Amino acid sequence: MNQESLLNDSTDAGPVAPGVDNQVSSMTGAVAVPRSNGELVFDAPWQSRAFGMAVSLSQAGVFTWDQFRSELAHAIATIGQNGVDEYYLRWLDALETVLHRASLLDRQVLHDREHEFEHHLRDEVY
Amino acid sequence: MGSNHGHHPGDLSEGEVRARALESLLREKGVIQGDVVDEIVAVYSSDIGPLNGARAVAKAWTDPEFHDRLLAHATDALAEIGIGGLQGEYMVAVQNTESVHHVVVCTLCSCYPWPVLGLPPAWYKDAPYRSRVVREPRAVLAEFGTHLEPGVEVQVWDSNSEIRYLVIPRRPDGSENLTEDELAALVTRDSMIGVTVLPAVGAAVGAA
Repeated sequence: MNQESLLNDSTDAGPVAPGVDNQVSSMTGAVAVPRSNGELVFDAPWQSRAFGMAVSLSQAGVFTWDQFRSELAHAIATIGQNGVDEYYLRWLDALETVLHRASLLDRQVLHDREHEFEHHLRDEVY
Repeated sequence: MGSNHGHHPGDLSEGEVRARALESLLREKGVIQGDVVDEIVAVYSSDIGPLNGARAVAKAWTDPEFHDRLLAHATDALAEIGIGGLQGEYMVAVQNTESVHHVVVCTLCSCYPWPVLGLPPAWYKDAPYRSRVVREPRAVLAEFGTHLEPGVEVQVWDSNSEIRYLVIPRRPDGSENLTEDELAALVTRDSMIGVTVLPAVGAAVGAA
C-alpha cells in the first residue's frame, strides 16, 4: 500500500469509521461531548436518544453540524451546564432551536406534547 | 422533586420528558424514521476505533500468517482488513509475551492511532502519564491495576508524527475455543495501549 495514498485523509475516514462524524467526535472545550476514559458517557437513555437525534438529523442534512454546535455553545454559555445531565439538557435546547429554525418544530406543539408525557396522557414515543 | 412511585406526574426527569416529546413529534412528521437513532448511538458508543484494533488483534491471534504480516508491516496488514485512514503515519505492531510487556505513549503531544483505537482516553494526553510512564513505567502500570512479574521487561514506545504503535496483548487464558469475533470482544482499548493486560476468560466479569 502506497503511503502517499493515505495522506490527507484526515477529514474523511471513508470505510474506516462508517457513521462516525469527526466533527462530532472532535468537539472540544465547553461543547465537548462528555466522555469517560475516552468513551461517550450517557447517564440515562434519554441522553443517548438526544445525541442520536441530533447526529442523525445533521447527517440527513436537516441542519449542519456547525449550526447545531453553535447553538449548543450558545445554550451552554447562557444557561451553563454542570455535569452530563445538564449538558444534554443544553443539547436538547440547541436541537429544539435548530429544528424550530428549520420550520420542523412548533414550540407550542412541543410544549403540549411534553405535558402529555409528563402527565402520562401519552407514554409511547412511537 | 418527583415522587417515584409508579406512573405519576413528575416521575420522569425533565430530560426524559423533553427527549420523548421531541422524538415523538419528529417521528410523526417522518423526520426521524426507523432505527437510525439507535444505530448512531451504537456506532458512537463504541467509537468504532477500538473495535478496529480489536479485530486486528483477534485476527492475529487466530491467523498465524496475518499475525506475521501485522508484526512485519502493520500498516499494510491493517489495510488488508479495511483499516486505513491513517494520516500518513506508519503503524507498528508490538507483541506482548511472557517476557516483554509493551506500553505506548506520546511524550511530545498526543499522537495516537485513532482509526485503529478510536479517540484517545483523556489520561493519554495528560502530562503526568506522558512523563511518568517513561521514567517509572511499572509504577504507572500498577496504577492501572497491571502488576507485572519482576522478570518481565517493560518497553515503552514513544509515538510521533510518523510512527504509531499498536500493542498486541497476550491472548487471555481460557480463550482457546472462542471464535475470532468472540475474541475481538475481549480486546480492550487500554490493553492495546499496553496499560492493562487481558484477564483470563471467566475472570472477565460482564464481558459483553
